[in-house]
Amino acid sequence: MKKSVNKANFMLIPLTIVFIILFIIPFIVLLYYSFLSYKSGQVIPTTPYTIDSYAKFFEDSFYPRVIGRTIGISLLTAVICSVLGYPVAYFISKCRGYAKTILLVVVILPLVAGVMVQTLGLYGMLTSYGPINNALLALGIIKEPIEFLGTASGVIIGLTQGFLPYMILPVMNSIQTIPENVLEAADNLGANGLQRFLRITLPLSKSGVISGFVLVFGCCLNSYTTPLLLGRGKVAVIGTTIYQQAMQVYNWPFASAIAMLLIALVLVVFCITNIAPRKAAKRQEG
Amino acid sequence: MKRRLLSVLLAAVMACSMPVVAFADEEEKDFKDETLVVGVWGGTIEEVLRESVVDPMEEEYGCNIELVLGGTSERKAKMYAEVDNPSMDVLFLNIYESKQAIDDGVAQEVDTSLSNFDSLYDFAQTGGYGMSIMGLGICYNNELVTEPITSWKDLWREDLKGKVSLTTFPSFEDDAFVDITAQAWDLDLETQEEEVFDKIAELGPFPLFFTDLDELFLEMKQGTVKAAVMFNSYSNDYIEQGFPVEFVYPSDPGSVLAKDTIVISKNTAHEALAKEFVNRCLSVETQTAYAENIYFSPCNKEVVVDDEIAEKLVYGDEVDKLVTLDWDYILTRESDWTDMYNKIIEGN
Repeated sequence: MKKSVNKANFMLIPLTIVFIILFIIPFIVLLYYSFLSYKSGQVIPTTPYTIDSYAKFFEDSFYPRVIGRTIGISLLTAVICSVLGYPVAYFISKCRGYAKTILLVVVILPLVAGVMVQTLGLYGMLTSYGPINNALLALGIIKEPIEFLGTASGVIIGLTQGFLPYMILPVMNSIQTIPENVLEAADNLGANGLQRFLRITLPLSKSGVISGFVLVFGCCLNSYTTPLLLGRGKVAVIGTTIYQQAMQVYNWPFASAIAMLLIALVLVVFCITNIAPRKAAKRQEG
Repeated sequence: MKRRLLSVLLAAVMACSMPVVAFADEEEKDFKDETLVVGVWGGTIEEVLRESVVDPMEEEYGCNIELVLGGTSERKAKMYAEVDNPSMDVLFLNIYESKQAIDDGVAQEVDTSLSNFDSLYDFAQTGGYGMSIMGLGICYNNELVTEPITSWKDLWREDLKGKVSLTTFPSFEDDAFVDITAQAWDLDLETQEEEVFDKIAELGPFPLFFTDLDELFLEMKQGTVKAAVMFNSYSNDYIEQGFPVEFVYPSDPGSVLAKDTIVISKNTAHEALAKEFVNRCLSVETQTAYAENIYFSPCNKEVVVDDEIAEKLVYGDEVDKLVTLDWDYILTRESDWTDMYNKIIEGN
């Protein structure tokens, strides 16, 4: 019997071509570069092929520590975004009409403004003589200005502010998909507000939280501008280290090797986050 | 059929006439509608360059000159990556990058036939076209630092502990500072690298590794930073703006020579226009504007400025007093130095 071809699948061709040109080919080039040789002072890497760049990464404890720091900052940011984003998402999902539209615009606005604009705005706020420190000093809460800039905490504040929408939007979406009759049933069976939230809303919006967490975590892992500006060159993360090696030292093989390891790390994280919820769901079904 | 034949004939005629037109253009300096792309720093440098060279040339020749702003590292990386088909025709680089680019065959050798070439100092005639001279020294807050800084070793004084700022590594300033630290403390750079970096670490904790001068000078005004390793020209610009800072050419071993250099891409499609642009940059008028507006010392020896401006420049015979570093050696160590610097920053 002749198998019929779904013509709608052809619509995927343009996207596939774009994906191959913009991701697969650069990925292969990067992988190739990571096995080339580098000599200090040289701008273009050459053969012979070597695994020196990968060896350098693991030989020098500084670079694994950069990965560790990046993961730590990313995890913490994702957790903070979850804690801060959930109530906002819950509130917006319960709003109706213009209020909801206005709130959604407010949430999305930082994404439209771009990372650079946001970070520069935050930079001014966080300086030792900025409005935050001035307000805290004026209120007598602190006696000396707090050093936000040039520290990991400053970077986390910046990343949280930048990536919070990536948490709010999927959580809000998952809360909205909870059927009203399920909540009504909980009410009829005598559940109070807190019980209803803990036993119905929270478990049913878990997938949104996981999606938001993965999005925020992934964005933080790759971030460059925020750690560079708010870290003042003192908080080395993967993004800034790759830039330094590629664009300032011209050690493209090493920068490529770090990028490859970063991609591997991201893949591992995504696999875990995909497998964990499925296993949990299966356990629940069982 | 007839129409197709006509199109082919027309295309053939146009193709044959192109070299003739190009030749005629070069001879008569007719650059109308040509677009020259120039990679250069932003800020005040861009402003002066636009006023002195870009606008007059665009008006005179009807050409377009696009300025691509940014730091030299990105420019250099692009130059090497696009060697066969460069997106930038003219590039402003620093003293060692331009020499390396010419040695590596990605930039053209200097053309001695340019009308302003012979007016350049000897040191500005090699490794690219010398555009301006700067001295690397120390800029400090002269209200908070009461005892004047006179030598490089003064940076290690107790009153400056944790108050010295450097740029993000690697950079001209930081590479030079490694060499200067070795010379100031009588350490051998080749055999005592770790000791040199330990010495630099003693300056910490560093309040800021700067990339932006506005940010640095605001911190200097606030006192978070009291001293920074910096060029005379940048410092003078901010002194002029009223910041409470002073620039010093430190002794032991002395202020370091820095030279901004122009190179033309090896395979540029606009060679004649690029050379005209470079020649304008080297002219007395442009070099004077650089000196008077942004305190970049001239490479053209015919430039004369008044005494007040001259005081802020490395001018005339004073250029000989600047320390020239062994950049060939520094370049071979830059990658390892970056690793050592990263560790200092991490332990900061």
